[in-house]
Amino acid sequence: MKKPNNSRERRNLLTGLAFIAPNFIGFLIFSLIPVGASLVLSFSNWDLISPPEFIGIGNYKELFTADPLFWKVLWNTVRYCLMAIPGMMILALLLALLVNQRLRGRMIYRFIYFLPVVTSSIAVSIVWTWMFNTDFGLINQFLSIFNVPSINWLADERTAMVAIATVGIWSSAGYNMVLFLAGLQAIPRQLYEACEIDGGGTIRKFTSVTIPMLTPTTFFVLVMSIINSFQVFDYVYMMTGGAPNNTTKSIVSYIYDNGFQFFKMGNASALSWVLFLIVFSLTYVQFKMQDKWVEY
Amino acid sequence: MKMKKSIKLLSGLLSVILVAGTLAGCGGKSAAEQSSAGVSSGTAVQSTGAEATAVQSGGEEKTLVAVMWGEQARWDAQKKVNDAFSQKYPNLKIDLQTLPNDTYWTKLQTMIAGGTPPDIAFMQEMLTPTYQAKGIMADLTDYMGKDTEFKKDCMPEGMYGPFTVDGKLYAMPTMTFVNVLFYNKDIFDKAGIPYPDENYTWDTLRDTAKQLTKDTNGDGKIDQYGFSFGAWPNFIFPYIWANGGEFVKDDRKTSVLNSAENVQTFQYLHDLIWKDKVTPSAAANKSNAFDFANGNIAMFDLGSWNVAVYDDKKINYGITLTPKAPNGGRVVNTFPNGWFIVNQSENKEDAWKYLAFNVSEEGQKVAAEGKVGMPANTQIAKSDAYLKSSTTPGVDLGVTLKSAEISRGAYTTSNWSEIESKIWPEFDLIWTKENADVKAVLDSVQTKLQAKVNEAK
Repeated sequence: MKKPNNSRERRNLLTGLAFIAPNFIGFLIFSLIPVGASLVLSFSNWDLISPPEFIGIGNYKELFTADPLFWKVLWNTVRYCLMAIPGMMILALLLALLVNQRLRGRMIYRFIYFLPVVTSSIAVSIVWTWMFNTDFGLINQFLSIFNVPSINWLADERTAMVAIATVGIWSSAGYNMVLFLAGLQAIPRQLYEACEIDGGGTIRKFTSVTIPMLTPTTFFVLVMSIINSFQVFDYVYMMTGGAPNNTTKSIVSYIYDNGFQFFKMGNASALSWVLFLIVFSLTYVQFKMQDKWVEY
Repeated sequence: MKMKKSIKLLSGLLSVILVAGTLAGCGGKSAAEQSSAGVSSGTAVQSTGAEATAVQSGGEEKTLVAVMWGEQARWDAQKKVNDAFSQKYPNLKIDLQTLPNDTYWTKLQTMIAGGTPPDIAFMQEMLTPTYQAKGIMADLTDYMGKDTEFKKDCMPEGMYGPFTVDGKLYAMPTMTFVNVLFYNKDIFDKAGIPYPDENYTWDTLRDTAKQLTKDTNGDGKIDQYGFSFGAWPNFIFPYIWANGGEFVKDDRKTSVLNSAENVQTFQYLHDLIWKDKVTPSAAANKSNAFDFANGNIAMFDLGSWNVAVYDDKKINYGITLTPKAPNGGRVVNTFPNGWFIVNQSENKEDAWKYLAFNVSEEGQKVAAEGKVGMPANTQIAKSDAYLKSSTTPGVDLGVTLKSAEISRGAYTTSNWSEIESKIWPEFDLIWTKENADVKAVLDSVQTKLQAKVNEAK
């Protein structure tokens, strides 16, 4: 920033600062200071009531060496990401391609596919919990047509995470669809025409024009999906609470447990920072790798 | 030029207002919270001046903040108790803040950490060691000794046990619940089977349940189960104890989970689900469509607070003692609740008056009529105010008195909520698996449980 050299510029600067102040102060009070405090707290033992006690890297050491559940929830979260992210991206792309067609009432389809995004995740979880119900659920009813024996979706270690990932995919596909749609509509028509002149068919147009031209959008969607999926909480909390045998407990629900069930704020803060570092490094690697596949 | 200047002034002003608004917004909220948390309960600032003199003179009005979890029926009854209390002590008012069960503990801790502690708070037996270790529960022994009107023998000595740590009482038990066997009379009448009674054993329970587990509409799926239980600690413990087993021993330091008795107990419960198939497999599932209130479970081992719930829902039910274990043993779980004085409160003397009033015959009678559970006070528990409080014909609350005589609580540790959240879910390997190896699961859980118990303060 240039140093203000007369009173008018200084006034301008002050006016500008005054304008950003409300937002900045809010950010400071509700984000920056708590984030900083959590870093400090992560090196302490604090139960909210007795004064914090400084224990160095004790919390981190406990996480990595003495807490088997930490590794379990980390693996659970990775499993969720591996199931949900490809699903939500592919489904979103297919939906975007679909509603990008000149079909009758496409606005209605766009509206419908976007609905899950703006629906309360609590309501979504409750409805899906009933859909996955072992005895009366729609999904088991449907499968029984094909003589599939009834599956105890949310109480079976093998299927519980699949169920939660399904809800994750269903509820975020609409948002990613809008992003892909914007990306699709930004592709210049003449590229398709050029491809047609060169004799390319529908499939060729998709692989040689659409996919490469969409890579910036794909990149953005991928980065955001990873960030969001690593923080999965509401569906876990509502649908299973981490059951069965903690196989659906995610990192964030474990942070919640540590902070607000066991009142171990130091542990919870340390976990949050570990999660931050994981997400940060994944994002960093992706930005480093984008030269390899993203076309601008 | 002048115009421009005034616009700039205006915009500057506006942003100042915005900022001030934001700040006032947060400030205002906490001020409101403070006032709702009681005029004289919180910070040093509040207890200066008029308030401080009021404490001494005892003449001016004072509001004590009490926090409580529960259901609407219980809160309504407690408000009636509070009204009766304010009639006896006209200068003391109770501000009862009711909270949902799952956010109660978080809210309680943040109130204390935030410098606006309540004066009185509700407590249950399992978390007493946890909160006592945090130093937020005042020792009641002295208050009890000084209060000449208070009769310690107004309730059985055993009631105090769960709230006593190292010989000192930290909460005043006001009521308790026990688990009893609820049965749906309509289902039994339809099948022409006599109602369950005190002679039931684990075997008779299973055999009756088999007769009552049915596919009523012939679609190949069972839509009425004979029996169900909750796979939560409080409801599994009585089976363990009745069969001569233990979870954590009375030293609160040794876990003895994988004993032969416990293997038998867990195997019995597992088999009810997977071998005899008389209990819905989703017993531990959040989306359980089988529920006593839905009329598709014939017998259900439940807490006696459900008397109020099923009375309201007009279900034709009865209650009896839970069945006896093969060795003839029968133990039920007691769920005592009580009030404690928050250590950080500045109104402990007045808070004690409230605690004492709650267990007086006067206070207990009001609570009993409101169906808040079995009164701690022996006289009231044996009176019609309690025994005849169910509105469902034939429901005899004398069963809960009999159950209370054979009831006990679990020996918990200061990190109980961690055990419940980290260790307990491992039993899902029994509840959710048809071919569960019960012994192997208990062996593995025993190791983890002992390690957690060792971490306790």
